[in-house]
Amino acid sequence: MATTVKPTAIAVPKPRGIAKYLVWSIDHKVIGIQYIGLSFFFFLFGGLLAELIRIELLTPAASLMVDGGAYNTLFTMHGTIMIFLFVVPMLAGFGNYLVPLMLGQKDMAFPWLNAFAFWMLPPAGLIMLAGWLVGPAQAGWTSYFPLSGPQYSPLDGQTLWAISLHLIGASSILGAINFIVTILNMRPPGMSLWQMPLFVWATFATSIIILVATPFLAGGLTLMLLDRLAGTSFFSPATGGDPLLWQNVFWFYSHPAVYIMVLPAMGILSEVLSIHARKPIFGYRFIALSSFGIAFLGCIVWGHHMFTSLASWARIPFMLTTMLIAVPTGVKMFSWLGTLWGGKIRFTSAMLFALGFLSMFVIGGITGVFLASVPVDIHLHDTYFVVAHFHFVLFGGSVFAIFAGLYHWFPKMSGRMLNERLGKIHFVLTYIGFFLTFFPMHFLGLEGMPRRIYTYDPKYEALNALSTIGALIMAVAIVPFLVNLAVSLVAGKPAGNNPWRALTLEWMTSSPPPEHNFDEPPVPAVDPYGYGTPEGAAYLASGGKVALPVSSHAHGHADQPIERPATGD
Amino acid sequence: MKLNRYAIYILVGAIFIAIGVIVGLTVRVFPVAASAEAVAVDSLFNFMLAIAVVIFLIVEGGIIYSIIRFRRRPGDETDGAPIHGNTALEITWTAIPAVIVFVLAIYSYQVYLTIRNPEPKDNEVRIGVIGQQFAWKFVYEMPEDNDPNVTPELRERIKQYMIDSTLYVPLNRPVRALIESQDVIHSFYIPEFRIKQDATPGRVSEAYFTPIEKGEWWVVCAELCGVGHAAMSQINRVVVLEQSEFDQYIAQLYAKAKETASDPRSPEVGKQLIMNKYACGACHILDDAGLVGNIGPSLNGIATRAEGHAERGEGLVGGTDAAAYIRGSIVNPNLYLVPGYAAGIMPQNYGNPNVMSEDDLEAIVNYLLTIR
Repeated sequence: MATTVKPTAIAVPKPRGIAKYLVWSIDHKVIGIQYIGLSFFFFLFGGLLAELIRIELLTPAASLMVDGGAYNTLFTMHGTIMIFLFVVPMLAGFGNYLVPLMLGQKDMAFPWLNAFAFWMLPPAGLIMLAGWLVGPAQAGWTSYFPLSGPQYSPLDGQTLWAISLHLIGASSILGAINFIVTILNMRPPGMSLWQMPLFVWATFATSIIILVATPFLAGGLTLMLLDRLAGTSFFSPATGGDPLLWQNVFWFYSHPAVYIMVLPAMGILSEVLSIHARKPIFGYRFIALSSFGIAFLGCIVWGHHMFTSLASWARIPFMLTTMLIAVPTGVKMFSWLGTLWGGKIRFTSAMLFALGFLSMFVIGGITGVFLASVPVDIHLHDTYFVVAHFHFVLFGGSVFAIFAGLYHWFPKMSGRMLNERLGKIHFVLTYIGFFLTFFPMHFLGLEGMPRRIYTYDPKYEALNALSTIGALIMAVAIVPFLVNLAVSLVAGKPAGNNPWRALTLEWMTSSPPPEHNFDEPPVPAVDPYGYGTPEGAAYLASGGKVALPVSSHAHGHADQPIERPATGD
Repeated sequence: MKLNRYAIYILVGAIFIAIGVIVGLTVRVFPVAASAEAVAVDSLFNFMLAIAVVIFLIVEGGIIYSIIRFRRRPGDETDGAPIHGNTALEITWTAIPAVIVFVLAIYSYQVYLTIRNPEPKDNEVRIGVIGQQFAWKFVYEMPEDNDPNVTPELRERIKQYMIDSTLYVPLNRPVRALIESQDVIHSFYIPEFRIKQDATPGRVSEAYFTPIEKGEWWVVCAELCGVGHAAMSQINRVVVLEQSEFDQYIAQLYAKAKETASDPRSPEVGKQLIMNKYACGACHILDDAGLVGNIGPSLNGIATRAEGHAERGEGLVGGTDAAAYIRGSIVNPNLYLVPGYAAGIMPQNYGNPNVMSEDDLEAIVNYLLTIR
């Protein structure tokens, strides 16, 4: 006789509304929005620090800051927070939300691990902020030794900084494993690797970089903590260590980290440009593969951050690998231009931010080649030219793409459209403010103004004032966005399943999607970018139910049709 | 029709290239090129700038053209042309940037070879550069001295005083800077010479330059080195002199060093050490020596205050008098902290005789005891 014990059903009320996002959940959509919400908070906070930096730099003399230490804290925390608590987790949030939906799945491969990876971040953020209670980190986000060592940074905030980054790094690695397993194993029938949306490709390449590079950050941080807490001497020259060892280990992670912050942004861009130009993405395979070219090269260029400290002979190979990155990056830029060419461009807010990326990122890419050239870099290294360069890459690139992504997928996440008029005001102010803030910095750097100083030679005053005005415009620019978010969440126009008439799978379910994502297993479009093709139109008309096979007409290249490989896994 | 289209592409391309060439030839965005190396670097930069302008115009022009020409007209709900790619075009825009990059790499390498110069040259001047929190100091080679009274030991002692807070370099002679740091990483940077090299503790690094313009500029610190990093870029000057003026300067420096070596603990020597060798003015105010730093406490009236500290027994080293307080403040600054100033900012290594000799310490104490 089998006795059956009925599991006692305890009625736990399910949190609803905002509360859902404040508690543990293994739903990838909840987790994705948790990532996005948390990192958006840090974006606002890091932005506030940036405004303080710019206000201090309005005039050559000290104005806000009591001393250099206070200023050093500002830019240390600004850089660290923007990189590790904003851009990286924000893009991880997009990945979490979108990858399972784009693959037509219920969830990530390891939902529990996914939640665990997210929940390492709030404590990491609190530990980082707690630095202010015990004396914050002041050694820059790069934390070079010996300045960050126990002798020159006796305050405990530096230790908390390292512990916080340790947690963020571990979270990042767990997330990457989850993405790789999900992407390789959980594609739906009818979707080969070569039919994945490019955002999924980008997340795949990014996850591989994270898996290769982030353990080096963990290793470096462990040695830093040992030096600071256990009296070891890995990096201290006075007792036999080597400060260049830290630089090598740090940049072996932190240069690839740039691509961790840029590749998913490029993935967002590929989606938004194609959909809002109503035209197939140009050169799908070149774009997908160039991500891997960038990922590979990105791991062998770290020495260009050390052109003024590295042994002379070692500078040349790093110059060559660094310059080569311009090639796959150029492939993407030109392919996106090719996507626009002949399209029917809709100037939605999402598209405007994507065009903002295109027009600004190219400047960051070009200045990157200047900095790759050893003789030119020797002059420009650690000057404001570098500050201009990486803000054109990370703000002109990643942040513009993040906003494009928010405008594009907000309807899916919330079920409501964002207001387009407010979106356009937000874009115009951001674009002008961004350009005004960072473009003059090129000239400051060329003139020789070093980074990380709060008092400066009065000859740099005019350009600094321009830059500060730009930063204040950006501060104003965020207001319409915040208003837009708040109002649209409550009273936005209902989005429907597929407001952009897109072909990727996340749009083939309700907005927001049900907890299980799809009521029945979705059928992926044979070509996720088949805009303007009869198959694409038929797929849309059927609401994502009918995926016609591909005719050679639609998928050949413009001039010479080529065979498409058989689809299927 | 097709020919026309290509003709337009070629015409636009030619215009872009012309603009690039004009920009590359005319735009000067750098400060004065005061070294031979700067001239080579500037040519390379302008060559890159010309190419950059062309690429910039192609991309931005393409974007602007597309958003005008391919904007959706009102009422048009159709999609764009289903063009998925063009292999020839894609290979072209992979190959051309690759070629450009190789050309730039080769040119850059050539310029680098001319500015790096690892081999010593016959007529080069060797100058030591030492970074400390938060100033630079410069160590000069001693001239010949035929004075029979100068023993090798005395010469060793004189050598310690061949040091100054200003970098003097002769015109048109190659200079090899041997760069060290006493504490954290600094970066030796003279924008007008286009040279930069980190001063990494534990190793001697080199920078190489040939001044070709007379003038006076800042020696900048380009690597974050602590609370006084900003101040460190506006402390030390580099001055380019004629060869004869340079020789004269070295002779004067040597004569003063010789004098100092004969009475190394005098207050006058202490004053010179405070001003030059130890660059105390990076952080402290001292009217008598013209120091204007604002990172640490003022030294005006230090002797009077030191007596008060001595009575209260605060921060004393090697005695119980005012001298012991001043000595303590130098060799162990955290022992007593002036209210409002944090620990760990004043260099912690002046207790090390290799960093500050016993003679130098006593000379500085003797001098500060006169500041009432």
